[in-house]
Amino acid sequence: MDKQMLDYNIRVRLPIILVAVVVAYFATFFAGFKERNMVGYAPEQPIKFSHKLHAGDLGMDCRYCHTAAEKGRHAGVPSTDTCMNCHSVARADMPEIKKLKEYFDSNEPIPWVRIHKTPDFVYFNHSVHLASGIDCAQCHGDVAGMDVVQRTKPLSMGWCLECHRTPQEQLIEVTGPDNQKSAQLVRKHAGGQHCSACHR
Amino acid sequence: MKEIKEPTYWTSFEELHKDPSHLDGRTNEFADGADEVIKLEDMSGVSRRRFLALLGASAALAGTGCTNYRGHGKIVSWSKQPEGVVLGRPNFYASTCSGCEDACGVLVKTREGRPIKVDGNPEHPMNQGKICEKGQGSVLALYNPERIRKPMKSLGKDKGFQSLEWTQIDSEVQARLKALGTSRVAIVTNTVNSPSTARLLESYRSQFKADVFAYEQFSDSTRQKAWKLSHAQGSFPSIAWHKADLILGFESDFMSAGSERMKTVREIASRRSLDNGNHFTRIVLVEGDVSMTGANADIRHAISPVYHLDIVLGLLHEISVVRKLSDYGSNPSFLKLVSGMDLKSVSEKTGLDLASLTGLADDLVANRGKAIVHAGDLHSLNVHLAVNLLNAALGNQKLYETKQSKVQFFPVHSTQELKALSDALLAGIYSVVIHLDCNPVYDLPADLKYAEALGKVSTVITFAQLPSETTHLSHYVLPDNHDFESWGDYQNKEGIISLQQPVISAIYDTRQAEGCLLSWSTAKPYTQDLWHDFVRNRWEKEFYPGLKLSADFVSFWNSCLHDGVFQFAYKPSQLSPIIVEQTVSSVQKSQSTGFTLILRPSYSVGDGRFASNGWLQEMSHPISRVTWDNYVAVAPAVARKLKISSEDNVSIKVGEEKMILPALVQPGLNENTLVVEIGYGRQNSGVVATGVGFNANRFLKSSGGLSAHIYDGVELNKAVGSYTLASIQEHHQIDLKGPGILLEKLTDPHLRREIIRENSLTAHQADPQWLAKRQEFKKKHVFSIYEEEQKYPDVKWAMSIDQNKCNGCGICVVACSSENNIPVVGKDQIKRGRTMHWLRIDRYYSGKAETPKISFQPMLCQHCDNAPCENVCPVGATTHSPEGLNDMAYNRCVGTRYCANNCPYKVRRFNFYDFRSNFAKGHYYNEPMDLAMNPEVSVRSRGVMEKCSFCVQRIMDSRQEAKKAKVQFNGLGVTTACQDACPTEAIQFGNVNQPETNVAKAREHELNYHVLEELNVKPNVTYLARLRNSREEVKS
Repeated sequence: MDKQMLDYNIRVRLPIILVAVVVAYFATFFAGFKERNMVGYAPEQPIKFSHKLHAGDLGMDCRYCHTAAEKGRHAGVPSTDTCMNCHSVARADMPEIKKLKEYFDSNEPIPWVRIHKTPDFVYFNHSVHLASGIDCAQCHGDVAGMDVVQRTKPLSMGWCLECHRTPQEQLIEVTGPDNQKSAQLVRKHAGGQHCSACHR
Repeated sequence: MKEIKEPTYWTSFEELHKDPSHLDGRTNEFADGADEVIKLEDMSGVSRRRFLALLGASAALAGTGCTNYRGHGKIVSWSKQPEGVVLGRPNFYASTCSGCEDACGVLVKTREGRPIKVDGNPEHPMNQGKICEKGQGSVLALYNPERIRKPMKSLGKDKGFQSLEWTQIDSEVQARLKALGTSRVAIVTNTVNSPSTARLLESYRSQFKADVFAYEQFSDSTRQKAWKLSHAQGSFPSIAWHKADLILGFESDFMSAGSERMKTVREIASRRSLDNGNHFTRIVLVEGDVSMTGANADIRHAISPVYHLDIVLGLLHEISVVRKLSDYGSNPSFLKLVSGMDLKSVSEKTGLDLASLTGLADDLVANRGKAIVHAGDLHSLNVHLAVNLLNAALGNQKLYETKQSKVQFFPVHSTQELKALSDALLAGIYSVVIHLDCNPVYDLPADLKYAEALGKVSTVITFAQLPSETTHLSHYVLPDNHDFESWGDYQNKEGIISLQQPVISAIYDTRQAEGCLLSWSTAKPYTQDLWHDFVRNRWEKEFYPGLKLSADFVSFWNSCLHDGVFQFAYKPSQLSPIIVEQTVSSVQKSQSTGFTLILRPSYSVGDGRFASNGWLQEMSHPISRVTWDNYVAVAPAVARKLKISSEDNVSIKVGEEKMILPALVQPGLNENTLVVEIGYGRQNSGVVATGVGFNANRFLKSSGGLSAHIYDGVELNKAVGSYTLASIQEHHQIDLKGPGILLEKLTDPHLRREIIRENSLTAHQADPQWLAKRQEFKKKHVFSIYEEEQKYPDVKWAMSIDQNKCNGCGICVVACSSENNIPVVGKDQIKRGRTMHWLRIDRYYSGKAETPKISFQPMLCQHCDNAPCENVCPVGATTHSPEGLNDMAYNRCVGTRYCANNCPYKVRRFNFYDFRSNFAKGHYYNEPMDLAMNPEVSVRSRGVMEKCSFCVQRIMDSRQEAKKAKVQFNGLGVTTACQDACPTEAIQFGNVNQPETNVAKAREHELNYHVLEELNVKPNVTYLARLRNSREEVKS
């Protein structure tokens, strides 16, 4: 390679390539942000179960089905026999309920498609958040208004820490007219912010 | 007072003799080979261009192919919700471990129906919440990918096996049992201590003319036999160790082996503390081997086991004839036995110096009625008889407790005594042999020709969980249930019966052996409930009515299942007096020549039945710290004479049997003694066990030794070649001194490490502030790089380890592996210094190589307040929590290993591989090993650093429960896995801000010290200095 060509490569081509790469990276990063957070992810479920009908119109409590939410780490999805408490009689002739009955009779689990998931190295605990007064909707959105459940929050570490740092905006105990004075209260109710609070 | 001269501590001969290459090596960050990842010959031949092309192509493929990157998989719900299971919460079930004849009560922790951790059952009166390393390892055994999954039938010798259905096995075996003719059935088993199993085997006796042969390679059968001879009735009683002021052991490793181990170590530890005004017990051990108990003894005499009888007789002579303290002196046959056994002659004969011998006699006399003399399981009948005499002469029977005497349903034979069985097999008396999860082909002495004898039997049926030498030679190999899949009841002590219940349904197509035998004898089809119904019926019909309880049977049964153990009243037998004449006449004196070989059980894998357990294989020998192998231990003097060093091959000849083994030069070993561990050299036993170590069972003989496991007249010669032993002795070692500099010359306190602190009890009593004075000297020289001290106002976690109680057993190491998903790395990786244990037990010698004192120090992450690892991490992967924990975020770690380099305690471990896939071609990646993992702890991948977390998952769980209950979290009740497992309660953990916790009290203790205090890293693991109750005078 002659000297002039080398010079051209270094002075012109290289910076162009570098700028193009950097621009492409940031463009993809920001454009794909929402996509990666999976906000709006609403896959089709094996049974067209409507949370809007059950939790919204009929006003059933979340914990009627997600029984473990108050007791343990996982909220859990209901066992099929929970559905059959009502649906052995109620609407037994509807096509989706017939599907449900098929699963129940064959003892096959229903393969629900997972929407909310923290990574394996995150040890999120439902029961503690509920006990601290966090409402289901704060993380899961208005599920009672959704026919098809979709994800409304990114469930990323930054998003978790936002709340953990500002309990005064999340918790009834800390909010209120005199919350300006209660710096101590805020510190007391703040969620864990050290590594082992969530990672072990 | 003059400054106490510190003993010089050393861990290996290289260090003792100040080998310059070794000391240089110490300054390296990693041991040789540890960080060598790339070897040219191991590398792929793919060129750089081709590699880049492949990389680009695969990236493009990944980009286009993996469109569903949002998929999180499925949530699979229960169809019908099981009762009592809450997602994410553990359930605990009480059961019984059948790993050895102790039958300890266990508490099994299950998550979503799968057992993940085992600890002792606190309700069980014998083991009181503690179990040994084998019990801790039983989780791994349940999920061992090599378990036999289907019943198999042999296609002929060495032609392999075919899988069959159980129904076909049933019909074939039942046809065989019906067509016995004049021949008989032999049932071979290890100890039977289940009353229901005993009943079943009785029914086989009457129905099928069966004979039951129960045997153990290592048991207290010799002690029991001696008891029968000298006391005529009853069995050897329990010993009240906590009442003993003096314990004199002869080749007795009561802390690591033998029956009632958990009770023994607990009771002895209760007397190894300055608290509660207890008098320290004194442990004196006379042994040829260097055992774990010997390391813990206050005084240890290295005397070949050949001479132990002489020493006991010498002491008997001194006490009965010279000092006239017992009435034996009037018994002529006793006088004949001990004639010429005055202490001076004994001293000359045995090599034990007269002062020590006299001191021993003085000690025994001074502690009459409060001492216990104990001969080891391996010892000959003669020594046991003489020890019985000595105990009786001193009035030590007061320490015998008959109220928990041993129950045996079938006499337990030693392996030698199975000659009757192999003779009968050779004579064709038995046409069917049934092995109940035992391995006689491996266990029995070679001269019994058991394997050959089995060839004469038309039907050999073996119930087994894992392939073994015996299954290899069987016609039918029937997979047995693991303890956690089985029902049963166990009783080996009067008044205590424990229940075993399944905590998971059979994972494979296996059957519980007892249930299968029952289905054959009753011709009922096998179900999982068959054996349960049998046990329950037996309790209802035979056991329950005799108790005369007001509760109905169902509530009684359910409460017994809940508690796992039931204690009932009974009339204890009277302690029968010793029959001197008969005992004396049974003692036979013998002469011996040459080396004496001791064949002892392996500390980790027992008699070999646990050899398939990677956790146990990787747990190191407490003294030599060798893993994955056995070797012959030789004394330093012998090594010098033969010009050998550790890892050189030597040949041993016992009678006609010759074997080549690697040698290990063991400081403190008696110079006429050789020690080889049994339990290695397994064949046809799966990838973990097969070919590990050498089969020392070949030395066993059915007659001719001093005892079943001690042989004299052994020849030792140097052999060609050498063999690498994977010892973790030199790994992750704290630098004892500055490189290459002698301790005496050091004036800078930063180079005077004093990692181990110990003193004699008398010196401590004379000046209880000795330790504080030493620390004062160090404290003067510390400085801090921090301007402000971090404050921990709410909770501050800390651990205290009492070195008086720690006996170096290593149960904590296995418990930690189980709790924290620590991988098995294998011998090859251990050789490179890549052990992954978060907790190790350092062993230090001090003094001369011939008579070293041995100290143990559990070493784990010290969770320093000023942690040096934290400020060198370039990515903030290791940080400090507000409760004083040194956190580790694996997902941030990029593997620079700076933290490990900067850790003065060398407790950080790096994942050089994904060890699960690296070990034995991914053995522990196979199904169903993922079920064994603790779901509360991340499984670490390749390239990240890890270390002890103080069981942060347990802390967080407790904290979250407090938060749910809306109470202030005070940290009370949080325990770590090692603390739960420690049978002596040496490890204490808790919140030091709560003054009532044991750990807060220990921090104020006069024996409390920090390791490497001069570095001012402020570790939160503190140690209590060890005191030795030796006879030495205070040196001032």
